[in-house]
Amino acid sequence: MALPMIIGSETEYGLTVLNDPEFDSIATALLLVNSYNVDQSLKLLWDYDQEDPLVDARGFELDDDYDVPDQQDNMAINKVLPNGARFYVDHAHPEFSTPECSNVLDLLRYEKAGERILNLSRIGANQVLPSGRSVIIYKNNSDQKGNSYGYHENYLMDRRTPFQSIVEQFTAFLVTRQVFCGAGKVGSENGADYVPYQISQRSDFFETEIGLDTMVKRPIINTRDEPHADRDRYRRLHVIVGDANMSEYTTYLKLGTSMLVLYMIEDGFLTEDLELRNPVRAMQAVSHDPTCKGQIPLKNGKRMTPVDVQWLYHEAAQRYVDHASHLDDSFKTIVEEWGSVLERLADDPMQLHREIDWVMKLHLLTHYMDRRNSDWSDPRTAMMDLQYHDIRPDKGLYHVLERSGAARRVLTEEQIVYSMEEPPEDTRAYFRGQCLKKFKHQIFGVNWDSISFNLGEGPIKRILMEEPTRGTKRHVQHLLDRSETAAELVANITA
Amino acid sequence: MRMIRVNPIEPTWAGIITCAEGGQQQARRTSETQPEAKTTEAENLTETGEKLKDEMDALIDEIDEVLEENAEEFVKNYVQRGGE
Repeated sequence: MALPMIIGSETEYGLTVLNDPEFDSIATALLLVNSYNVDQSLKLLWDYDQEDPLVDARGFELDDDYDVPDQQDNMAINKVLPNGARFYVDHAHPEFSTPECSNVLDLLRYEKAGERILNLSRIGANQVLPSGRSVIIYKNNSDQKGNSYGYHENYLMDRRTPFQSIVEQFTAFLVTRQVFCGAGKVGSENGADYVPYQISQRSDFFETEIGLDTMVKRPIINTRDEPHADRDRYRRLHVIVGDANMSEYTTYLKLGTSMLVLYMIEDGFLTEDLELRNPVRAMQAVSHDPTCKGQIPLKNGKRMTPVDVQWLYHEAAQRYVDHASHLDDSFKTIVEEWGSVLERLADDPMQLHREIDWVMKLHLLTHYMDRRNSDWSDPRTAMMDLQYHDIRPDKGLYHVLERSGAARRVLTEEQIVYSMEEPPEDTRAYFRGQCLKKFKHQIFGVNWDSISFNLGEGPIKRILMEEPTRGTKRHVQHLLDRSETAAELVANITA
Repeated sequence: MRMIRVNPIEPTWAGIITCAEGGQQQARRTSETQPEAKTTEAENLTETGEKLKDEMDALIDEIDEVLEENAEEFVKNYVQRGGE
């Protein structure tokens, strides 16, 4: 039986400054993470000691230098939030990493809370910019000029699962899930053949099947082996092929189906022969075909549509949820929704114009072009593509659709607002978030799997949290309640 | 469906495909049994179609209102450094 799967996502946002074509992206990203309403007197470090990003799941370690920022820079570029999330500058982008979550709906509400947090940072940042200038933030993955920035999903898996099984059984799922996960894009880039519109923002950027890179020669299966947890027990699968989605429903389905397929791989439940002959080429072919009817070749000589490949996974998942006693009923709902979406994709994808981002965007663009007598080459078409992802509630086109009732919701506004401040209750993020609320001035450093305190005298006390399913409300509420100070907390833990 | 909440606001322009198809089926069924009702159904259908068209027009107008000015220049200037 699979271990409980802890999940999270990381979103790198695109940005620009209105009326300042010469803007400095690093300085703007830095301004943003320092403009969110967190206590600016806090001096806490992101604890890079625990990080090991150059270790490879295939068993070797690279010897490239990995830059660790000095303390002053460290504090400026890293913010740890009371909801357990990390908000920081990664290269030239603001990035939001959700807290660790135990289920899909929790991860969805933290990812959406991240958008709201970025928007508040934007409002804060605008107050210090010269008048007439303002920051605009996009939750997308491409600038349409060959530069891509990522959206990464993380699934914590049982270390005993052979990595080769993941490569053989998950690749075809990732290549074909685009049909219901894509965020849509006008045109193509990175040397790909021209198409007026394609399903995914990211697919033009994948060049190899497997590897450690995320910025060049991007692989479909990323081999980074950095579990941020007990290394003997866990592997964190770092999925880098996904698009950042605006639609709650698309995000829900993307995370839910992926989690379910990985559970089946962990349990050795998948027996279907699902290897593709050329995954990299198929990745692009699927993205370039909004009819979803084109066939891709499998290693066994068969040719199938991406929807039919998804049906194979879906049929296995249907059997799996009927028998897996460790899964709650939410997975049955995921399988139902998945099937309903596949039926409509096979029939006519445009039926999903309230549910799936790439269809919502395409539906909007085609109606606009029809009414305004414009076409794919009209600059307004490219502008709408970009502005679909604008996180401003009054200007973002996704938000216009949502407001008019044209986007299917999964969450309530209250759930999202609550998640901006409160950590999930059933992972170690609870302990991190509550410590940040209660002992923030004594915290010296934080990482996913540790939190350390400066008690004023003696050495720094570091509390290791290698087990992400501990540190939950149930485990630590009593401990937190009876510890008035950080010193008492440390004493109570070590007693 | 237990977990998914649908927005309490009724879909407006998004209902085009499904509503129009449902309306046609309704009209066909009625015409077999109640020929005299045909005109009313057709009128309703036209009304529904007009309403959806108006809603779509309103949405497109709203898009024009919020869309960034100087689209060509704006899109040209949107250049990012690679990330990840």
